[in-house]
Amino acid sequence: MSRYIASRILQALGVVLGVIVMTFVIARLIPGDPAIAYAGPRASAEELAAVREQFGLDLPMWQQFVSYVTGILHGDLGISLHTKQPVTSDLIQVLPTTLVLVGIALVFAAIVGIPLGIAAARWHGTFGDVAAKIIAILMVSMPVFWLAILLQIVFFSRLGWLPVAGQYDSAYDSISPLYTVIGVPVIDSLLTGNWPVFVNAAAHMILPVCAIAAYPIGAVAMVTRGSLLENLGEEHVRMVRALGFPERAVFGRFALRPSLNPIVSLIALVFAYALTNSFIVESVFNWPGLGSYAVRAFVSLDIPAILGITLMVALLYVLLNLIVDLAQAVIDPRVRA
Amino acid sequence: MSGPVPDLAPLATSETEGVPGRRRSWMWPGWGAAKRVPLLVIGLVLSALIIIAGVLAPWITPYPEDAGAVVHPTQALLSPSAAHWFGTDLVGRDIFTRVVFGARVSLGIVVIVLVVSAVVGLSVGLAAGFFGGWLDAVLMRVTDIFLAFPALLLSIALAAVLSPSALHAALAIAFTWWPWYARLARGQAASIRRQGYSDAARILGASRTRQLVRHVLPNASTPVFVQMSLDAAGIILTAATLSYLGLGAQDPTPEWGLMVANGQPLATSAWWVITFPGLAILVTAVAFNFVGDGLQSVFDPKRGQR
Repeated sequence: MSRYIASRILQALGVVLGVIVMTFVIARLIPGDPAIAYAGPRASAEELAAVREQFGLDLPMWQQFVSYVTGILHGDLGISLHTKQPVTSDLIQVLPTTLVLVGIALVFAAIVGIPLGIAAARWHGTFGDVAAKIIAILMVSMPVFWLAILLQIVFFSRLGWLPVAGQYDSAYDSISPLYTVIGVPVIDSLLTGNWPVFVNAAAHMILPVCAIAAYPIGAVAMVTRGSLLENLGEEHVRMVRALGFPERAVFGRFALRPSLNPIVSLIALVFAYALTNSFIVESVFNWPGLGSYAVRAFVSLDIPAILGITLMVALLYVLLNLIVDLAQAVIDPRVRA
Repeated sequence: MSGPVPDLAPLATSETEGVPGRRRSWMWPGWGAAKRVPLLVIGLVLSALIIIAGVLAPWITPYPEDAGAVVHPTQALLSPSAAHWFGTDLVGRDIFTRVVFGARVSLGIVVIVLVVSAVVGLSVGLAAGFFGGWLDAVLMRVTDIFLAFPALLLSIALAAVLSPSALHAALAIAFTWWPWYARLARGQAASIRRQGYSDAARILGASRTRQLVRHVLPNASTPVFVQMSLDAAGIILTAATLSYLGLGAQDPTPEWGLMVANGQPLATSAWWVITFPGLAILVTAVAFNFVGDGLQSVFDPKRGQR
């Protein structure tokens, strides 16, 4: 077991190194001149030279790579061309609210998707199964930006039920001021017992959460269904059935448990997908998190920010994959072999 | 991508065990399968319609010139009517025409991504699986690095640093897509190498090239083809997302994601501007997902529905 853990961690470290090299290579693929992007198209030659020197763009490639890696090890991802702030501090500022948003969306997806998949497998071959499958496929086929805009139009512009922009209404600042704990209004208001703001902030989350959760719901339901059906065909489950156990027990006690492993291994993938989708959803809903920051960076060709975001998300993803693998090794001894 | 009809030995044995004399044809699994997977049939019909509509776009659309950079200021933002089934956009172009032409752009991107990533992925995967050793180790570690990035994020980042165009978007997607095929093909190639018929070919003196081309390539590519059909929908969605963000096709290209982006500021007053292009993306993705899911359950019954 400890051997498995050690080799898995080593492997992850190798991948991290590769990821760093890759982001550096992507940065060098850029056809445009980053100095011009920073200083503006009308900058004079001296200004450009000064910018090049400031960012080390005049150094040989290997020196740039060494300083890039040393920078990363010190938590320095460069200065954002857009905000003119260190990318690291920008990311620390925008990350928590996005993680809360994506986390809630994933929990919601599990609460809806797993039962949907179980129901489809339980009533396999019936109309309900086909309906569940079509719903799941619709969910994974939905263009998330379009879904977000539609939700906005229907629930805000037409029905006026739910708010659509930002994290909470700033009007509450004078009625019921919010104290910052971790910088995420919905959590801060909960922790400080600020109910009016909490209710308002929670209402602001409903639509973005639904938009982000669509894909995970479909994916989780499909995997749950497929893996349950596969396990129902296994010898031990057929045996249990033949012995006359009630269908409830066949599902709950024998088929469901081994089916959870593929769902657990889906977590990392779905997280990555939900996080990237949150980029688009956040920019549609004006949510001041990583997503809005990222979309601004991508569209304005803010290279240090793009690289910082890519690197950070890839590192999160590698870390999550590692945790999932280790968790699976703990749950299922067969994985360790 | 049509080669000699591959010999489906590994898949066929698991399928036809105990049913001597009955072997599945590679191309056509039979009506029985079609009846078992109605969604596959629906998906195939829908996909065929979308492809035909895209190919015939100049002849079946009412205003083919609206696919380009024309402006009809007097016709701006007309709601859907008999003359304009899907209404008109901000500059008065017929949205139905543009949506049909959009099928060409999206399908073109899907083809480019699938061809590029299948060629690269199969080459890398087969080389790694067939030759093994250090080559295997090096190629697969490189593949792992690519897989360490969330695919959509890497495509967005790459498309952002390239100058925005539909072709660059397709290449950016292919760049993140091939590792999946490489991994799949590698696993197949490695297992085929250990099959009896592979040993037999080797013992009979087949050259390495012949083993690779005659035995490994056809058998390793079938799962890759099934995976490709599953991926077409994902490519459509990724490409639409890139152009929605302004990182893919540019105006006046009739691209669905771009049309949604351009229509977004008007969406509250002119719902049709974003609704129909978005529906086109959804319907196409659903059709491809039906096909992919159905093919998977036909070729790999253990994992799909039975």
